[in-house]
Amino acid sequence: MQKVHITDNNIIEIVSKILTSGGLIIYPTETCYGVGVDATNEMAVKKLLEYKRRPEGKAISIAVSSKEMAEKYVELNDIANNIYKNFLPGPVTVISKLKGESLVAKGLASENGTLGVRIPNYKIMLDVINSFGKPITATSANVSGGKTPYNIDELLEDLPSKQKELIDLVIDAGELPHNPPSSVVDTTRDEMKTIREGSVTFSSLLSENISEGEEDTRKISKEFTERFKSILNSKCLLILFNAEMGAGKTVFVKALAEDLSVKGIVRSPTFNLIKEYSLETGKLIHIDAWRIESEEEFEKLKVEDYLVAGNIVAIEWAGGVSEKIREKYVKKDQIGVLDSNPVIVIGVDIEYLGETKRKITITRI
Amino acid sequence: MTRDLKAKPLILAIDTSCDETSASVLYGLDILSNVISSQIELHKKYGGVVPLIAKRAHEEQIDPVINEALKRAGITLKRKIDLKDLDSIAVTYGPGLAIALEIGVEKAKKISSELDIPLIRVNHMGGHFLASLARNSKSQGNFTNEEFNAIKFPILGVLVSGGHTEFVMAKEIGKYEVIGQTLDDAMGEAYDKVARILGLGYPGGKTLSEFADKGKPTFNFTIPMRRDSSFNMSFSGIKTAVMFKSKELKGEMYQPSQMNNVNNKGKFDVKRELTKEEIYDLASSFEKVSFGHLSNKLDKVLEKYDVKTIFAGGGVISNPKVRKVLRETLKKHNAKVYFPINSRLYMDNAAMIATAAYFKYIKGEFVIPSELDRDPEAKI
Repeated sequence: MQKVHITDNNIIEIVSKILTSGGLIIYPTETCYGVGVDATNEMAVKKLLEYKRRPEGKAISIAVSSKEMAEKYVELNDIANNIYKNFLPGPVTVISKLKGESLVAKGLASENGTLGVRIPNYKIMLDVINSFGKPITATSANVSGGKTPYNIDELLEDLPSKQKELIDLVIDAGELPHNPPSSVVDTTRDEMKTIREGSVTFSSLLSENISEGEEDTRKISKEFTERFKSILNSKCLLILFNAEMGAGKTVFVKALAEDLSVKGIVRSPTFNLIKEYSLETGKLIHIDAWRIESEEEFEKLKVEDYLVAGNIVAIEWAGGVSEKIREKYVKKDQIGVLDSNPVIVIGVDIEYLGETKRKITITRI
Repeated sequence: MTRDLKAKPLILAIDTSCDETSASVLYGLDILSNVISSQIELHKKYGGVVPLIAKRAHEEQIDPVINEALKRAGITLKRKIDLKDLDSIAVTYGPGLAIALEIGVEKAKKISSELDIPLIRVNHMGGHFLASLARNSKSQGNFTNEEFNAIKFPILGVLVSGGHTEFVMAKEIGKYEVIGQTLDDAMGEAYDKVARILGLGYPGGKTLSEFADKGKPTFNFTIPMRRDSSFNMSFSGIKTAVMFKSKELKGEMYQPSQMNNVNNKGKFDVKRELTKEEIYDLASSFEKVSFGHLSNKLDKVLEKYDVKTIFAGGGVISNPKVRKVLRETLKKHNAKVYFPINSRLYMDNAAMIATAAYFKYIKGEFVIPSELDRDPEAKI
């Protein structure tokens, strides 16, 4: 394994040479360290899949240096064009349909013939890809399920030795800022759909769902969790419920906890006011303000102490008592721009439509 | 285990697990005092109605409550009692609200260190479990020492309160296993929430139960988890069923609007308030299904476990109807249920903590003050 630092001379030539020979590189981006191989070289992609230990059939995105390069590989429709124009280069991966005769290697595109493309906002890598003239794979350098890598030493420590042996070159840029992985948006359907939330959010209305019963509510919660899981590496997720009694708030939190492998039974926090559970990234703090009668009383719970990266803070009956928290963290103008706010605030509104039927509206607030 | 109940240490216990600040002095298992903050006159300035924030002001209340407990214990014993007379200090370390538990734990550590008396940590639920063993100041209770020694283990604990609803099996005192529990709301919480749904205010559980006596269980709510073979319970669905029924009666169930307008909430039927009779009947129907659920699950426990002695505890058990349900259910299984000897022992209180501490004291189970920390999610 060869190591270079981003400030080294001849870095572009060194990297190009390794990529051309089918080598595998670890490289910095504005989100985290990625693992790259020549995306058009089938042998190199095989090596990458072996490195990632990813189950077959799961798509892997590519990084290009310009919109022009992207257009050689995928079809850009109006929605995609819009995102490329306004957000790229930047931490957004855009899923588009492959061009008729695809030039990327097997194993990268999804089964439906779609491919994720991004333009990293990281100068040296744009220069490298531009000079190489072809896309490289863009996926985080950890093996599936591992910690998001922001630091080379930590990454290498976490990697099994088999994976380490597959690395040909490491481009070290020191400790990267702990930004969440890129937002992933699917532009191949009639309506744009965010698959994974990153620091760029495209709409304040995240989803509007009809639940026919508890089972559905659980499903909706799990989809939400999948979408937001990755930002826990660098941010806190604050969920404010707005719903009547019996609407299914605790059901939603229970499903979320299940999806994040929380051990033990998640019960209503009404009496205890606060219940805590361990997460891989921090804690799940489940708060019920139903018995809280005043702002002053709410203050005493010191909820702010829980608002740290890695934590999910879910507050039931947040309505009248969390004004100060709202004031501090809710900034409407941040939708659609790179968000440096350490706390992502989500509103979950649940309305009664029938005995078991509910409307669940999830918004970024 | 040591079952010699002749030792009579003087133990001060503190409980600040959630809403209440409580302190109690026990002489052996005899309660000399059991002071609970919301029941003493610390709140005169609020004119009778005590806001939760005042109740939960543990920091302000801990010293007056401890002093009151010592003072009353002295009156009972007819001699002055001081901290330095204590043989041990006990405290609830969890489960509960972290910021509340902290106050009690810090205080107990301080007393233990300053007076150099052994510190005992007690699990709050372990306290509820043993509340039936506490005796009055004349040493009268459910059991004499001889009777206590004759009890055959295991003992089943049926602990039902605002924060917990669980079946706990004890192989011996201090060795517990939760064999079933609510998966969502506690039974006491369901009482209070249904009371709110019916417009009875908070905490309205007690009023709800009184209203239930005036009505008939005309609404047929389904007993949850009947086919489920576990001993777990669920009260959230019952609450939701009452909510829906009351919305239906009030004409609040609406047709969802087709218009994409947040202000248009859809078409309402003619709205009205619930009648008194409907409230009585809903309350009665709620109790019927809740009792049915508890009794059904308790049946399942008794079918599987050969247990003849049951200790009941927790605020909900202070409801005489709940006690009747337990007695009748357990009678079928030739098991006998014991209840705490006075109403204060049902709710969150420090005398039950001192009772649990007593058994730790005679076994010498002490903790080093610097090593004790609160654990809001402590397991029994």
